[in-house]
Amino acid sequence: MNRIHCKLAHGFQQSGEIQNGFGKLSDEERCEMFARCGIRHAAAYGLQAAFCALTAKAALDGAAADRARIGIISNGGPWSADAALAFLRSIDERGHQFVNPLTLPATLVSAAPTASAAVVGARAFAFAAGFDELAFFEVLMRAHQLLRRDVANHVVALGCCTGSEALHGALETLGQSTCVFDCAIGILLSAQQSAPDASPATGFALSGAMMGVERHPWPAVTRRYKGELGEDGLISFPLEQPLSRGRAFSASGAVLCQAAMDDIGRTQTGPCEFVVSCVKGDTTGAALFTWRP
Amino acid sequence: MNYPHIVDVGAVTSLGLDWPSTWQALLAGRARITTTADMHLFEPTVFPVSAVENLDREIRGSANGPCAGLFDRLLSQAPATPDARIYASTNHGESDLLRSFLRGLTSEQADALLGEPLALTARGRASFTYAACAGGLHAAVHAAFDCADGITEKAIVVSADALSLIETVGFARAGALGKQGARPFAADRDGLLIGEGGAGLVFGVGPYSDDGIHILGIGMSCDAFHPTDPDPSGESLARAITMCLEDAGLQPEHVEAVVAHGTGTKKGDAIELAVLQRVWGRAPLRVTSVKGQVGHLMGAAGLLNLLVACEASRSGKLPPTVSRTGEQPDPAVVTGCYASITPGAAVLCLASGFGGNNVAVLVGRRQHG
Repeated sequence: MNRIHCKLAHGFQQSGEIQNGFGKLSDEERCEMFARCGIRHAAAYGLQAAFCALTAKAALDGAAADRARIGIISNGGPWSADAALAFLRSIDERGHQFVNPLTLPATLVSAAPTASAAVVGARAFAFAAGFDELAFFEVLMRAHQLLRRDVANHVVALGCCTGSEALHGALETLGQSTCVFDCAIGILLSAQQSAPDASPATGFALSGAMMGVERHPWPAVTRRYKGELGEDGLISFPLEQPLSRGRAFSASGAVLCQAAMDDIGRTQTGPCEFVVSCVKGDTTGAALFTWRP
Repeated sequence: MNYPHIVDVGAVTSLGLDWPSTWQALLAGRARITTTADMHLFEPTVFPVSAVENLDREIRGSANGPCAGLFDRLLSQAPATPDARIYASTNHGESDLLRSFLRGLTSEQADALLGEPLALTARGRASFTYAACAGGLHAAVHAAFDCADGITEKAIVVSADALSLIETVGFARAGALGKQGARPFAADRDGLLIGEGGAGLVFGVGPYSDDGIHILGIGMSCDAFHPTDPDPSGESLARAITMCLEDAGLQPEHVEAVVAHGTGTKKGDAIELAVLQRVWGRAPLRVTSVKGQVGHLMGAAGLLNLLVACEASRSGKLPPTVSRTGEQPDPAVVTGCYASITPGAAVLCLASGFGGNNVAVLVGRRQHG
């Protein structure tokens, strides 16, 4: 099977507490995201859609690729809830006749990936997958599957999230006061013959991804980074990573994969395989990567 | 390609609370159009809708609203399959929940908002796909891929949407609603009919009978053009159809019928028909859309189309499209009574969604693949 190359991408620049597409943005930085993301009426779509578009742009930057062979998959989740709430409020406050119909598309979970696809011209497919902390593994699973089936040459796998009124309201109802991070991490997955890197034989590659009841997928692989979701919504992980202090919900898998890839890049001088996984209840989401320095 | 075969199907629509009654009504050309006023919904404005009879629309404390009720009914129609993976899709299933949010959430609703959508957990974890009105068909595609890849031998695919204030008001304000229902492909069509309901099917891998209907080919694309309008060139939709035919190893002339997306809007129907004419050229083709009868089921529309395509192939009967008496919108469009096609014939089903996702799935007996 051809190698599926991975290239990490971030929707944020490094600044202050923001590192590698993850942290807490200021209000000014949030406004800047809307201005830069390229989505028309971006504020109606919300910050998660803006993050997705920025990350997709970063992932495809410099890639001379047939846009009809690029797909986008983002993490599902409650990200359209604020747009839906705003729409409902508009109905309550102004009446049916005065609602702005341009705000309807943003009320869909698929708004973020399709808006991102319009920004970068990705015309193979654009959808969202998954709904919880394991969602990004489902995103990787679908991306890997569609690349193997030659539906696309490149897939931008997006793990993006931000706090929102709906999210904070739900957390407050549950009496949970955990921090919700801003996250804009993506992985550009490319079939070998289409890899943008100059040295396609090196770097990270995705060998597989799964979602299921197997507690130890790919048992022969010894290097494993296994996360576990606690009842408090925080994720324990063998590496120092921010999800032990706050939440990224359905973008969590992207944070864990990035942490593992950073660790591998720092510590491994030779080729290796490694598994990144997260367990939630009786379900495991996992991805198998290879590394060639 | 070792795609799965269809083991069982289920549906809940305005025409019937199960698939057999829905199918018989579709074949007979029946349509059920009511208004939101009849159900005291979304007042004071009155909208024409195609609503499921006696659907419990209350949200009582827990996270279960009418969309969850639809999923419950669909899953109860599926045979007990303990090892089956579940694949699901919805557009605004959660909007019932959000109306409660404005009045204060319960803890169950908060849990649901944070990650456990609707009531699917009773059967086990579901793999959700969100692709607007192409979502249900996308979920079926992922299930078919997983079956073909050996990830699962049995898959249950469910998709549902209940009447949503967001969608009803949104489409009305966009001028997209037909004044008295939808008449897909009709010359004087004036918009779509909001519907509700759900569709479900069970895929299986392994020994199949000669009568078995299989997935034969799959194609997909994205317009990347506009948040709501389809690309007027139709290039992307044509590409999805061509990909599907190539995947099946078939030529257009091997396909006898199409269950089109056919919403009843001026632009959408024109583009879709033009693409079909372009791909099929002079090759004979029968086209239908069921949205004039059951309305637009939103996230579930594509999966319902797949059920119609499967049943049409199995039975050799393609349901008619709603039209005015004596009208012939296009020679290819089936109107009046059902059209006879070859049992087991290759039938294409299409779905398109906001943001430009297009999905094409070909079904039929294996010898066509």
